[in-house]
This record gives sequence, C-alpha cells and structure tokens, in this order.
Amino acid sequence: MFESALPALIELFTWPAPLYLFLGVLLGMTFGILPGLGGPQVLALLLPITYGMDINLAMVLLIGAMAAVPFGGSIPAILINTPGTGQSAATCFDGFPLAQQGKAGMAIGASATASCLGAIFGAIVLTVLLPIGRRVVLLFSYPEYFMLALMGLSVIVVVSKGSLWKGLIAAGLGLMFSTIGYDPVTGSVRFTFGSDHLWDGIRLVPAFIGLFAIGEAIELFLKKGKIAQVDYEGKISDISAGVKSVFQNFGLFIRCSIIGTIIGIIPGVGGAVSNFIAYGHALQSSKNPENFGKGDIRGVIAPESANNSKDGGALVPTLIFGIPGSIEMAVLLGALIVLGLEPGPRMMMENPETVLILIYVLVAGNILVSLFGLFGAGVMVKLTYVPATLLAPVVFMLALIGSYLTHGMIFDVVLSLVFGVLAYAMKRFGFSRVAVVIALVLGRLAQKTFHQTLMLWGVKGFFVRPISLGLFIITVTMVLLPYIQAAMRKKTAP
Amino acid sequence: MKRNTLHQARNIAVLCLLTALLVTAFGAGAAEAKFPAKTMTFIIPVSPGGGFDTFSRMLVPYLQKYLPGNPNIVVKNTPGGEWNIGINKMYRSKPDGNTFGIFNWPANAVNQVLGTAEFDLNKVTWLGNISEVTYVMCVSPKSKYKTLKELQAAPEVTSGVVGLSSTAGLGTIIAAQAMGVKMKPIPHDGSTEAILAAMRGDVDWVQYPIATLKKTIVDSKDLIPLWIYSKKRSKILPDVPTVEELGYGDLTDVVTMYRPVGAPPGLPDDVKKIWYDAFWKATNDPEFQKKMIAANEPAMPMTPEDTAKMIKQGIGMVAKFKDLILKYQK
Repeated sequence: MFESALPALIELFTWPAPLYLFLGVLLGMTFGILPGLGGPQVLALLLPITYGMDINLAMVLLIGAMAAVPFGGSIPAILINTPGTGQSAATCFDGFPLAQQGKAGMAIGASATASCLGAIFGAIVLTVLLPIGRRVVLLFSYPEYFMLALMGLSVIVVVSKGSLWKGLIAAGLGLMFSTIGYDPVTGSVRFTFGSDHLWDGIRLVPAFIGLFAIGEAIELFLKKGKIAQVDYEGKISDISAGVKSVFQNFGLFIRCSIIGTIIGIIPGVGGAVSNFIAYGHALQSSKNPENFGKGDIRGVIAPESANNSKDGGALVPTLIFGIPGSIEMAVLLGALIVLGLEPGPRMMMENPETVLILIYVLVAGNILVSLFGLFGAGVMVKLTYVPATLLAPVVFMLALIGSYLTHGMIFDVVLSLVFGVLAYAMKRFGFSRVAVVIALVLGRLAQKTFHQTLMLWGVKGFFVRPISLGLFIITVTMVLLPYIQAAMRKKTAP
Repeated sequence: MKRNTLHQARNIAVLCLLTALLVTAFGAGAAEAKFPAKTMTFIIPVSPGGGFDTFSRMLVPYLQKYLPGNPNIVVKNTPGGEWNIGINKMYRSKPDGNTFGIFNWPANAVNQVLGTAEFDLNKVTWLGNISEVTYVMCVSPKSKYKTLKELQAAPEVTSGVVGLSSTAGLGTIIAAQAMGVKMKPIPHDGSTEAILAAMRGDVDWVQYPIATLKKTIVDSKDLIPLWIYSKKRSKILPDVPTVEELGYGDLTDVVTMYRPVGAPPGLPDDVKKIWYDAFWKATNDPEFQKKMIAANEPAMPMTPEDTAKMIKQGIGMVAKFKDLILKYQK
C-alpha cells in the first residue's frame, strides 16, 4: 500500500482536485453550521452529482465535505449555544460560556486547532492500524459497549455540581426519555402515546436544538442585552490564544484524540457519544473541575479533538470489513458502491491509491476548514455582540427550521419546542441540562447492551472480559476518587 | 419627503412580495393537477445509506429518463416507526402519481398483519419491483455448531437479528421453527452490529443478503455460509446449497426480500398507464441493469399485476406466522 503514497498525493494536488476539495469543504462546513443538517445530508445531496464522475475526484468531493462537518457544527455551538450537529453538543458546555465572557475568538481558535490536529491524529492511527485493525474492531463486544456508556453516564456525577440530587433528577429525566420507543429487547413499543413518530424514540437532533438553541433564545428574549457580557474590543489576539491553548494542554488533546479514535473504530457507538466521553474525561482528570461549565478552554479542546479524530477511527471498520462505523460512513459506503468500488478487504489490495486519497482528503479537508474558521473567526465573534432582541428571533427561526430539516417532519419541530420550554425551566431552577443530554444519548446504548450481555452471558459477562472489567474499574475509581481524597484530607488535617 | 419615498418603496416591495407569493401559490396549484409534475417525490422510509436508499437513488435517473417531460425527482428519506411513517406519508398523499415510495417486502406486511398499521397494502397502486434479494445463512467460525444437524441437536442457538419485522429477523425465527432449531434471537440495532457479533463469535447464526455478506464470506472468510434461501444456486456462492436441496424449499418465499415500488391507492387510469410504461422501461434499461449487477444485486423487473399478486400472497403468508411473531414480541 505504501508504494502508492506519492502518486496518491500527486493526484490530490492535480487540477481540478483542489477545486473539488474547496467546494466540498465549503459545502460541508455550511451543512455543519446549520442546525439539523449534517454529514449524512451533505453526502446524500452530493451523491447524484458524483454519478459518472472520476472515482478519485468524487472521493475528494465527498470526503472533503464529510471532513468539514464536525468543525462547522462547533461554530454555532460556541457562538449561540446551538450545536450544528449532534457531534458538537459537548462543545456548548464550555464554548458558550467563553463566548459570554467575550472570548468566542479564543474558543473558535482552540476548536479549529483541536479539530484539525485531532483529524490528523485519527488519520495517522487509521494508516497505522489498517494492517492490524480487524483485531482491534473485534475486541469490543456488548459488555465493553455497556461499560463505555456507564463511563459516560458517570460524568453526570461530576457535571452536576451544586446539588447532586438535582443532577440525578435531571439524569433520571434523560434516562426516562431514552426509554421512549422500541424496547431494544422485546421489540414492543413503549410510551409512544399512539404516535408512530415516537417509535424510534426521541430523536437527538430536535432534542438538542430544543434544549440548547430554543432554551437559549427564550433566555435571550427575556434577558435582553447581548450574548457577550463585555464590550467589543475587536482584538485578534484572542484567536491565537485559543490556538496556543491546545499546545498548552497537549496531553489532554492526545488523550481525547485517542478516546475519539477508539470510539470511532467501534461500530455502533456513534459520533454523538465520543464528544461526551472526552468531555467527561477532561472533567474527571482535571485538578479543578469546578471551572468546567463556566468557560474552561479545556472543555472545548476535549470534545473538539475527539469528534474529529473519530472520523479516522470510523474509517477503520469501513475500509477493513466494508462495515460502516457511523451513519456518515453508511452513506459513503453506498456512494462508493454506486461509483463501482466495493469497500472491504479487497479494496485495500486492489485500489490502495483510492484508500490513500481518502485518508489524505480527510486530513486536507480538516486543515482547510480550520483555516476558514481561523480567518473567519474575527467576523464570526461579532455575532455575540448583536443585541439579543435582533439575535433571538433569528436563533429561534433557525432552530425551528433546523429541527424540521433533518427529516422534514413537523413533529420534530413540536418536539424541539417542548424541549426548549423544558430547558428554560431547568435552567431557571438550577437543574443541569448537560445531565439530561448525556443520559438521553447514552441511556439507549446502555439499556440495549445491558440486555444483550445478560441474554448471552448473564451478569458474569460484565466482569470476566479484561477490557470490560478494566473500564468498570476506571469508572468506579473516577467516581469515588474525589470522595476518597476528601476523606484523606480530613484525616491528615489536625 | 424622504419619508414618503421610503413608504412608497416599502409599499411597492410589499406588493411585489404578495404578487410573487400569489403567483407561486397558483403556479403550485396548477402544477399539482398535472402528471408528471415538474417535481416528483420519491419517499424512502429509511435513513440514507443501506440497500433501499442506494438502489432507489440508482433508479432515479432512469425514471427521469422514461417519464414524459423528464421530471425532477426528489428523494425524501422519512425514517421511523419501522417504515410506518414513510408508508403512511406516501399512502395519504394526493393520488396524482407525483408521489411514490419504495417498500420492504415481505417485512412491511408484519405491521398490517399485527394490526399496527394504518394502511392496506392491497390497495396501494403497485408500479413494479426493483430487485430480488437472496439471503444467505451463515454461522460464526467460532460457533460450536457448523452443520444443520448440529444446529438441530443444539440445546440453544443464538442468532443476531434486527427487529422481528425485518425480512432478516422474521426469516430467522420462521426458518428456525421450520427446521426444528431451538433459537434465541439476540436483537441488534442494525445488520452491521449483528454481523460483527457473529464474526466475534458472540452469536451463532446470522442471515443477511448475499450482497451484504459477500465480502465477509468470500473475501475475508470471517463467516461460514451453510445455505442460501433460493430455488437455484447463486453465482457468487456456487458451493453453497439451497434450502430446496436441504428439503425446506418453502422457506425461499418467506426469506427472500423484494424492493417493490408503489403509489397511493386510486391513481387515475391514464396516470397508471404512463407510470407502468415508464417504470417497466426504467427497470429494464440495460445501463441500469449493468449498474445493479456491479452492485451484486441484479435487477428483477416485475409487471404491476405480478407485483400486486406477490403482495397479496405475502400478506397471507405472514398472517400464518402471526402467533410466532407475537410470541417473540411478548
């Protein structure tokens, strides 16, 4: 495979490939920014255009667009507390408080840098892993999935500072929402109130839009003022401070990139999970977790590096087995089949050049979109200084359109409105919205894998497998550590 | 003075906007009555990615080619409710021929048989069929049971299924019952997860379309094929026996999936005629057929009459297994 490394690179820089890359990235970024639209939609839109196109050029266009989506989604997450895609939801937690402090430039700078480097990290891992990737993919089974979900859920204990009870109530609410729809075991439907739309459960995108964007718009309407609580100074140094912050926290960046890559490699866990687990890791490994949620730059770096490195990871099962590691990959797989390629064990041997172009484009697309982000940041941060009375209606409208767009259903709009009101009430009475989101995302995964494990191996299934047991011990330690430390301090104190 | 001109300008702008709105409204109203309209909607009741989406999109350019006036066809994915949302949307749309949708057969019969559907598939205006999907049954290389005899003698065989109202899930429990295998279905979210579970050796039995499993069986040999659900052997897997050879020929009809396309009930006769003609020509187009073969799923055009007949028989067949489905759904 490595003997085609150079020809593939030349192919990428041969006109008109750079043009296709540019267009793909621009389109992907736009789809990422718009709430409700994301990777699957942009790929589905580009699919008919690629019919009859040269395979390599089509790859440049498709992967370029796909690569640009996660960073695009982070921009509205930071600026207006509205994740453009589900993968960027965790970026809201600290990105938006930074914007409120007038540091949106710093957050975008950090996000662009972490995204770009995260993607490069994922691509390197992908290249190295391709020959041995199959063993890694097959290492993870239901107990490991369950322990990953449990690990994510344990983060709720840390994020619900203030009142643990209120945090647990919020988490319980999220878990209850996650039980709506198909029972993953018996196949019967639960809590659907006779509506077909609830058969598949609460859809994440409208729920996120409601919890963040609409909740925020209501708040803006009522509070007036503007997002940034300080006056506009027009500094550009903020952006470079954001870039630097990634290098100052390089250890965290590497750890979160590893988390993102591993979650990407495991098919069926999904991109929406990686950013939460990375965020949780940043929180739990931090010496001062009380700063998180109030505008800690590490809370931006962690999810951003994870949600970009996961794309490289998700390509591992796609290329090795022809089994998609995420929804984007499923659409991409369809596109490749239409183009006459068959991803899987044979493609690696027969079309190594295409495989390499794919990896290069993933990297190039991320570099390009990050550059767009860095150069555009100066203009974008001005959004946070727009008076709320002007901004809130726009956010509100974008949110409603966004929730409609993903599936074109009015039901989703109603759902996001309901969640918006819920979000406002929760914020007003000091309940954590983060806990609801985490529980909603991970509840279903936890429930399904818990039953699958029980059906196949019983309770012992969780504890006889090394990775599963290891993850369990890490989770328990993470949760108990603060209490143990506190107890030790008490003992040593005179 | 300045204020006046501003007012005037605003009034003119408002007027223009209203006119534009009216024109579009009337224009849209006029266009709806026409067939084929400039823009038609192809409803796919599942998410992008996967066979139904891929092959529907593959067919679109050929439908455009053969429908008079070469209309623009918009593909709309409306996933949810195990196909119910998309089918309902199509079923309740205006019967003018401008909205049509793809179906998953015989899986879509399950909700009708169980009484959880709000449509009657016998009333749908069937246009034809895209392809026929042959399923292959595989066991994990790590499974203790590697022949039909061993499976029949086993105290419990686990299988990776995706919902019981899918062709794979329904087919698995029906096949196991017919063959006398004690089956424990383990539910998964998608075929991807189920196939990986078999590769890891967590479940014994999976059955999915040959095109889906080809690379896993032929290229990487991660799964062992035991039989295919077909009357004749497959060109892709020539060494694998058919269920007919094993003495369970009846299972072929239950475990073969079709991808028929239908329009709402009560399509006018002239519209039907244009549609039948265009759909038949599109599915028989040599270029389309070549593409389908390249994707490991040869096209299988069907006349509207044959499609309607298949639907009627399918509903009857699934109804026979109603109790079995209910037993697993609890």
